Amino acid sequence: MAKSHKKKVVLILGGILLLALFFGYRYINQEHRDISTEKAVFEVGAQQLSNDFKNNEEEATKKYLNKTLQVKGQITTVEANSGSLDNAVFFILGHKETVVQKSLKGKVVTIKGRCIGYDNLLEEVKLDQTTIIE
Amino acid sequence: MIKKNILLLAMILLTMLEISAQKFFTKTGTLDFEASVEAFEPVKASHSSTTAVLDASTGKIAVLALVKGFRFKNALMEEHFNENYMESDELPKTKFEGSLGNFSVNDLKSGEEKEFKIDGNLTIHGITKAIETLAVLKMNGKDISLTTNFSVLPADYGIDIPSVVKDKIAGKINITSNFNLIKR
Repeated sequence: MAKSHKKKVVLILGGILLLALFFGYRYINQEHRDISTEKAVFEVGAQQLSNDFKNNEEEATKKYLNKTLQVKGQITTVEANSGSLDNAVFFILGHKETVVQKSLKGKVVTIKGRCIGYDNLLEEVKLDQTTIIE
Repeated sequence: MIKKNILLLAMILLTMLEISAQKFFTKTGTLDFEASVEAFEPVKASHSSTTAVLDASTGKIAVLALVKGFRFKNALMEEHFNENYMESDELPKTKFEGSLGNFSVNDLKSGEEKEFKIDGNLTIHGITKAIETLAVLKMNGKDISLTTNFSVLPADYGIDIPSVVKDKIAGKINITSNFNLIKR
């Protein structure tokens, strides 16, 4: 009786330890956010997004920073793996997509990316890990 | 007479415009840092959308890296970096404002590296300190490439490293930047 009781305790403790190890490992090696599959928290025009930061950077930072945004605007510059909308929103692609097609220049598109803040040197909102949706 | 004055004024304005147009910039500069300790998981991150603006007529330079843009291999490390060390929700910017000593764009030759002293104010974690280091510049076609390599101490910028992880994070943080500045 006492022996099987002891066995049970060992089994339960072992189980807990294994679970702790499993979740501990998962916690330490957790995956990065995948912005391309996240649902956008805000859908906003490029001009509007830029104006929000120009009018009140602190408030806009609170509202948009680190959030997934869907932004619509006209592509005004195209670089290798980055570009800008309405000369007001800079975006850089995620590592899965690596090239912005030159032919997109001048087209109105919708992009999805993570807002990393406001660049007051060039007066642009910056997004990273961006995908061009349409 | 008036016509002549207007012409002169126009010429002065044009020259001023010409000088003010001597700006080189990048929006996709690379800024990496590493504070790894041997035998432990590497502590390093890379930022590939750093903004840098160089005024070639004065040698003044401004650099801005939005903290959220630093990417780590390990997602948890990235989270801790943002939340516990840099507090990037409240302090989203890391920046440098300074100038290159005795800079003249005419001294740069294509493919030939030239070293300049660079000094100015570096702001990390909301704390600004004067720093001085060297920058290597090179004419790259019509662009100017600029690289720097220096190190900072986290304590100087009010970044506390808890004793639990002190062994795993180097006391000195090496920062490398690499900008390909294009004419505006």
